[in-house]
This record gives sequence, structure tokens and C-alpha cells, in this order.
Amino acid sequence: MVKYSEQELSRTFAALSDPTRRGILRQLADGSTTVSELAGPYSMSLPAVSKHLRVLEEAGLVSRDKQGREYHCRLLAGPLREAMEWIAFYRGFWNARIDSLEDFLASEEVEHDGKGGKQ
Amino acid sequence: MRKDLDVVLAKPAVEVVRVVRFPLERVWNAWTDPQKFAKWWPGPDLESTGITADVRIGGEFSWGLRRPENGNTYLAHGRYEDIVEHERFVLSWDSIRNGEEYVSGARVSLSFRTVSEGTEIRILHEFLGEAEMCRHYSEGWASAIEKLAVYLDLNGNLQENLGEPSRAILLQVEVPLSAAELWPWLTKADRITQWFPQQAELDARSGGNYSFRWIRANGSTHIRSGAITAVEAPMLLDMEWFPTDWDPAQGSEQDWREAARTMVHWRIRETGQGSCVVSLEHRGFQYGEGLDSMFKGHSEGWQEYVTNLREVTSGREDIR
Repeated sequence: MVKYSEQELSRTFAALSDPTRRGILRQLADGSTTVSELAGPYSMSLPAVSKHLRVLEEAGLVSRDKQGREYHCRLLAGPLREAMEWIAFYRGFWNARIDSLEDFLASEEVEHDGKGGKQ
Repeated sequence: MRKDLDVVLAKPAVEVVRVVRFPLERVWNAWTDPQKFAKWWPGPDLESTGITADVRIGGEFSWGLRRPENGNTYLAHGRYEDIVEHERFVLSWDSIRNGEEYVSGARVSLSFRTVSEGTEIRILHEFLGEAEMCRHYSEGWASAIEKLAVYLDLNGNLQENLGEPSRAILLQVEVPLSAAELWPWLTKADRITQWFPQQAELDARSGGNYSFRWIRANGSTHIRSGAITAVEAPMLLDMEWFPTDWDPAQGSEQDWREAARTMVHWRIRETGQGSCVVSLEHRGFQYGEGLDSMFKGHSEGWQEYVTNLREVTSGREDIR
């Protein structure tokens, strides 16, 4: 697996921080499309959509090829996989922390009961 | 994998909600008493490489962990951005994994509430892309924009409807205009339509009405109208906002108006350096079944539109 640098991962997340860009990626995940198709659901000009696509392209999330008169866009999986890894990492991390918190609170109770017994 | 893709495309954030069978006070103390915290944070599999916590607003924390069997390390550090006793605390969160930074600029919000089985702990770990985005977009502008901060306020400061806590959207943006220059952007229809609805009518007087019609990025059309409830040009604008449509099948229009009403508060404050800070507070969203998506939709919508507002006001030379 290719290891992306922290800077690249931050750039991926910066690109993902915008809801319109996430919408565009979702459309791309459902099949490659042209810029005009991508612009369809948005009340946005083609240049505005192109600006978002440029950010996605710079983050390595999208590739654009010119075919005839139109650009065709494709989703690139690498950076997204890193972002998903980030999500999976923290989901596991936080659940493990809460497991540990539960053990601690239970042990506190035992300790407390123990002390209570001696008094 | 597809599920994780959907998550990341919904929002680059991790949300974990767990209910533990212990009373809120003990759960809260386990998080906020540094001695107790140090006892449980590493858990059975990890060891501490140093845990410090200065538990007050603005105080710093540094929580280091190491997995003995393979030597992997994880260090989280940052500040307590907000603390509401027995309710929530918010951390700015930078992390170093195996000696390398691991996606800097996250925020972790922990909220606690009593439920019948014990205490519900809600952890929201989100990446703050806006600061990054700001840098990206402001490259060509060299404007005075410092940051666009977004807070989802889960506190119960506003106890509305028989003490049911409500929630609010709080957004702040700095624009390179004086308050007087900014004011038309909030109150004149031909300006508002440059950053928010495609169609707007607005009578910027206390007791006046407004009506907005717009199409969201996802293609849905929205029409919202209501009263302007307070105006103090060029500092303050309050408007009522009905986030849902009246459905006659659900009851009378009067009942709906009372139940659905939320408030949008605009505040403008000059920084004294040729710019002003615009705050949007959209308050009064109730908790309840089916209401989360509405709240989320409004949060995302306002983020998008307030970002637009910043862009159109920062790039005003281009427009005129």
C-alpha cells in the first residue's frame, strides 16, 4: 500500500471539507461522468464546478482526460482509501478508549465496595 | 468499504456514541480528573508515555500512548477549547503517530448526558478543513481573512420548550469590509442573491418580512419566509426561520409555527483594522426523531453560504 504523507492526507481532508466537492465525488463513485453532467444537480456555473474539480484534482482525488470536446472525470481511489483508513482508525481508537473507561469505572466500584466492606 | 466511503463523503468525521452503565458525574470525573484519566486512558493493551491535562478553557493537554508489543506510538495534544461542566468539552486535536504528524487540525467534541441505562457519551472527531480551505481560496486575494470557524453548539444554554435543550449553528467569518459596507450584503435583495438564494425579497425593518427561494447543491429547491424581528443597522439583524414546511395533515398552521420556529441572529463587529467579523447564530433546533438530518442540512447549508458570503465580499473588486 502506498503511504501518503501527512501533508497529502491533510490536502485530501481539505478537499473533502466542502459539501459540494463531496457531492461531486459521490457522483463520480457512481460512474465516471463529464463536467457538464457533474454540474447538472448544482445551481452553479460550469467554471464554478471546474474550480471545485481543480481542487479535487490537486488533491489527487480526481483525474480529468479530454475526450473530444469534453473533459471526462474519474475518481482516484488512493487518497480516499487513506481518508477511510483515518475514519476506521479513529472509530477503533475511540471505541477502545471507551472500553477501557468502562473497565476503569467498574474497577472503581469494586475498590469502593472493598473499602466499604472494611469500614 | 463502501460504507466507509459513504461516511467520508457525508462528512470527514468520526462519530462514536456509547452508553455506559455509570452515573454521569463519575463518567465526567474520569475524563476531567487528570489522575483518574491517566489510569484508564492507556487501557489494558497500551502504556502511557506521559499524560498531562490542564483542564480549563485554553488549558493544554498531551496524551501519549505506546503499544509495547510493537513499539507503535500515538500522541494526541491540543487545548481545551470549551468546557461546560457535566455536559461537554471540546478539544483541538493534533496527533503524532509513530513520530509523524497524523492529519493535523482536528477537533474532538465529547458530550455527556444521562439516559435511563446510565450515561451516553458522544464523541465527534472531525477534521477542520475550513482553515485549510481558507488558505487555499484566499491565495489570490491576500485578504484579511483569518479564519472561518464552525461550531456545532450542543450545549443546553437555551432551554426552550419545557427545558428541552435545543441546539444551534454558530458560524463566524471575517470579511475585509466595514460594517456599513457589509450591511447591504445582508439586507439588500440584489446582494443577498449573490451569495445565498437565487431569489430574495427582504424588508429590513423590524416587523418586515423576507422570502428566499434557492436551490441547494444537491438539487433540492427551498422556499423560506418569515418576519424580521429586530434590526439595528449595521450591527444586528434577527429573523425568524421555519426550517420545515407546514404540513396541514400534521395540524394547524399556528401550531406548526410555534413548534417549528427557529431564530437566525446576524451580528457584525468591526475589528478596528478595516475588517469586520460576521457571526451567524441559528438557534432553536430541537432534538428528536428525524430532526438530526434537518439540523445537519442547515449546518452544511449555512457553512456553504457563509463561505460564499466571504468569497463575494472578499473578491468585491471582481464584481464591481
